[in-house]
Amino acid sequence: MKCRECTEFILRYLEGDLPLDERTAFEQHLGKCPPCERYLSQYRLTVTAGKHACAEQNASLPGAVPEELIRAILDSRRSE
Amino acid sequence: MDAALDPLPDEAAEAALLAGLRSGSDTAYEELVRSTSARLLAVARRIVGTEEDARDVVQEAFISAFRALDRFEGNAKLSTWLHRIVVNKALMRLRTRKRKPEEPIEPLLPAFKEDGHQVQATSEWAEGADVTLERAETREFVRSQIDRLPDTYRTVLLLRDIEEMNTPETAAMLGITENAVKIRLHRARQALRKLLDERFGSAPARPAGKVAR
Repeated sequence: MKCRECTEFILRYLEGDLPLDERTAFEQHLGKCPPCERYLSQYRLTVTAGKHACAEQNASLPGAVPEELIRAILDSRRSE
Repeated sequence: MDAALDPLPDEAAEAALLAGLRSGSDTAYEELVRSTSARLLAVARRIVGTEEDARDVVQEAFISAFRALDRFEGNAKLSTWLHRIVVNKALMRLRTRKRKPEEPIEPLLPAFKEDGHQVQATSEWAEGADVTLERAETREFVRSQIDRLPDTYRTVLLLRDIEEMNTPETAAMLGITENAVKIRLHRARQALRKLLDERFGSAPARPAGKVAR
């Protein structure tokens, strides 16, 4: 396996979608190619970073929503 | 979805709230809106990008939800159901908005030489790149880089990685095949890695091929 295929296989590898022979070839390549090993590790960290960066937005307190928006939503229901 | 963030964790409370909504109780409607709108607004902001559009999306979503409440079967949690409606409305808003042509994603993807090695070998990220995520400034940087992705790829990354929808759900929401979701997700993550490399990459890139043992 070359770096090109290895890089293309990452998502399928992480999702458990690779057949056994391709999975074995993928892991063998990683074992002897530090740049691809680094690439996989950075790919994983990228996914974690995205989740981590956005989680705090979800945790914003209810007070973070403008009262006028809440009133507008509730009023729109009453006016129907 | 993180259970700690779920505003309606208790089944009995959820059933009581649903009964209240169905009987037309103003208190129940207010409880629903107050307990879920912060998270929904965050979701809408991420997808549509501007505060004004995000607020419109959340309002439209609640109006749709109120109308459809009779058809809510209770298979999913109310918060999950509302989340899906907001995502759908936000995607519709994105499609109808006038936008400049998308930048191609190819420059952000790895390039390869004829022998199959990367043109530029992946260099180390600074020690503790994961630790710096504890800093608000780093998280803000990561969010700003997600925003730089072309919409075609950004939306898939948001739905799969951030909103934690599965591949079939994401495909249905975007009207594309599951295979297209996987291809776009992989490219989006690769492109985001490249963008984060500008911050986390420390060691100068070494010529490809020479570092492989």
